[in-house]
Amino acid sequence: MSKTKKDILWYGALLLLLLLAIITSMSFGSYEDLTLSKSMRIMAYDMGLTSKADFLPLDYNVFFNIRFPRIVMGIIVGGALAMSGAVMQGLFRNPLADPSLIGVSTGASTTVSLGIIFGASTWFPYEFLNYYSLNFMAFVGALTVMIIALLIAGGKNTISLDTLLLTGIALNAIAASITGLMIFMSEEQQLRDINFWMLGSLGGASWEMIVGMMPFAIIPCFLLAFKGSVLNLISIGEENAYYSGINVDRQKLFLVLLTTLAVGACVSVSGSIGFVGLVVPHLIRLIKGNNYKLLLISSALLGAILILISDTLSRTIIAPAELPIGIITSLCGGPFFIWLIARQKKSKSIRS
Amino acid sequence: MISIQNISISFGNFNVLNDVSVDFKKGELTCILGPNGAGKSTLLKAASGWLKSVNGSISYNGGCIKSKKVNELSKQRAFLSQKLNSSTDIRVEELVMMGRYTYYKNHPSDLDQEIVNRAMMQFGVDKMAKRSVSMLSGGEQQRVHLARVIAQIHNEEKYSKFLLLDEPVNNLDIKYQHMILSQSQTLAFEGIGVICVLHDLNLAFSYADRIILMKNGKIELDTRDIERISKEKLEEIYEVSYDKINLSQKLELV
Repeated sequence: MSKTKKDILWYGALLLLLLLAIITSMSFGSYEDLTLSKSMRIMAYDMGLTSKADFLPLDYNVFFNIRFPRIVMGIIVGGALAMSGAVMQGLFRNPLADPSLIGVSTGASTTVSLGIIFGASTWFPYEFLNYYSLNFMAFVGALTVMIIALLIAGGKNTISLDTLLLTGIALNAIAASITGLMIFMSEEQQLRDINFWMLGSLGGASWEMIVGMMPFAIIPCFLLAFKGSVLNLISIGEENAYYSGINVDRQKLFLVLLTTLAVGACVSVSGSIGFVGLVVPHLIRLIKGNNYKLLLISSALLGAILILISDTLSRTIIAPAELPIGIITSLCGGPFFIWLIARQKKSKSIRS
Repeated sequence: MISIQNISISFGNFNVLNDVSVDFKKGELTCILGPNGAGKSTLLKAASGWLKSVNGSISYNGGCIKSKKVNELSKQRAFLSQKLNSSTDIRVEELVMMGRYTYYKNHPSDLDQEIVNRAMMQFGVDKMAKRSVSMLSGGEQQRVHLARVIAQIHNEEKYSKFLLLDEPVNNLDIKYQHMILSQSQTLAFEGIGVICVLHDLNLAFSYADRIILMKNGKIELDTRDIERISKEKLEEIYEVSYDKINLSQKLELV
C-alpha cells in the first residue's frame, strides 16, 4: 500500500471516530428526553429535509443552545490543546512539554481568581461584557504570562528555549501562589467558582463564546498545521535546522506565539483541562512514530475525540450534576502516562 | 567562493578566532587540522553563518553572508554538525529527505526522491530506509546524517556549492572513514567546495587538495603543497613527535 493511501486511511479512521464521538455526545446528557433520534430529527428539520417538527420547543432549545455549541467547543478546545501540546514537545525537544509549559494556563487561573474575588462581573459598562468578564480575564492572564515569559527569554534577536522553560517554571509558581492567596481570601461560593474554573469544564459553551474564541484558536491551529516539516527539522537540533534552511529564530517566536495564543483562547472558555495536550501526541507517536507532518493534525483529531468522550462522561456519570472534565482527563491521562513511561523504559533499554 | 576576511570571535574574554582570513574555493577538498581548541569548528561554524557575533566579513559567491536569507544560504552550503540529535523516532528515509527541505517545502518531487535514494545508497543506508533512526548504532546514524547533507548539496544549479563537514569520520569504522573522504574527493572533482575538519592526519594527507593547520585561533599554515609539510611544523603544532615514512609511495605518518 502506498504511503499516501495509508495516510488517507489513517485520517479517515480518525474522522470516523470523531463522527462517532459527536453522535455519542449528542445522544447523552442530563436532559434525558433529548435522545439521538430526536437530535437527528431536529437536525433534519433544520436542514429542511423534513417539515415535520415532532419534537418539543424545549428539545430544540436544549439541542441548539446547549448541546450543540458544547460539542463544537469541545472539538475546538480538544483539537487546539492536543496540537499545541505536540508543537511544544517538538519545539522544546522534550516529551514532557505540555501546552501550558510557560505558565499560560496557571496565569489564566490567576486572573480569573482575581476577577472572581474582586467582582469582575460588574466592571464593564455593558451587560454582555460583564457576562463574559471571566473569560476575558482568563485571556488577559494567559497573554500577560506569555508576554512576560517572552520578554525574559527573548534576547536581542533570538529566544532561548532553556530560559523560556525555566521562566515558565518560575511564572507557574508565582501565578499559582497568587491564586492560592485568592483562594485563601475567598468566600464559599467564590471558592467553588475558582475551583470549578481550575478543574475545567465545557459547561459554559455558547455560540457567542465560540465566535469570540474562534479566531484565537482556529487561526493559530490552521497555521501550525503546516509546521510539520519545520518541527521535524528542529527535532534534530536548532543548529541543524538552521543549516537546512530554517530561520530558527523566527520560527521559534512564531511557534511559541501561536501555541500560547491557542491555549490562552482554550483556557479562557473552558478553564484548564489537564493532560490532553501532554498525552494525545504520545498516543499518536505510539502508533505512527514521530513524524510531525502526521503528528500535528492527527493529534488535533484525537484530542477532539477524547475531549468529546470525556465531556460526555462528565455530563452523565453523576447526572444531573456535572463532574469537571479536568478530573476525568487527568484521572484517565495520568495512569495512561505512567503506563507509557513504563513501556518505554522496557523497550529502550537492553539492560533492564 | 567563500571569502573570510579578518574575522575574530570571542566567547566571553576568550578569543577563539584571532583575525583569521581565508578563502575557500569550489572544486577543492580542504582539510582543517589542529589540536583541540584551535578554533577549527568555530571557523567552520562562522563560515556557515550560524555564529552571529562575528567581527570581520564573510561572503558567499560575492554576497555578504548577513544579507542572505537562511533558505538561500541553505542552497549554497550544507553542514554536518558534530552535535546531532538522533534520539528522534523517525524513519531513515524521512531524515534524509529533510536535507531537501529547502527545495520542496511541502511535497517532495520525484527528483527529490531520486536524490534521496541515491544519497542513501552512496552511504549504504538504503537497506535501513524504513527503520527508525533512534534504533541505529552511532556510526550508522552518522552515515544517515551524511546522506542527508549530501542530499542537500546535490548539484543541480549553477552557482557553486559548499559542503562543510565537522569531524565527519566520528564513530565510523575504517572502511567508511575512507569512503567519506573519497566521496568528498569525488564531490570536489565535480565542482563542490568541500571543507572538512579532521583529527586523523593520515586521512587528511592522503585525500586533501589543501591543508590548513590551525593553533590558538590562528592559521599557522595554509598550503596546497601537501608533500612539503615538514615534520617539524607538525611537531610544533601538535607538541608530539612524528615519524614520516613512505609506504608504497604514499605518505604516512605514524
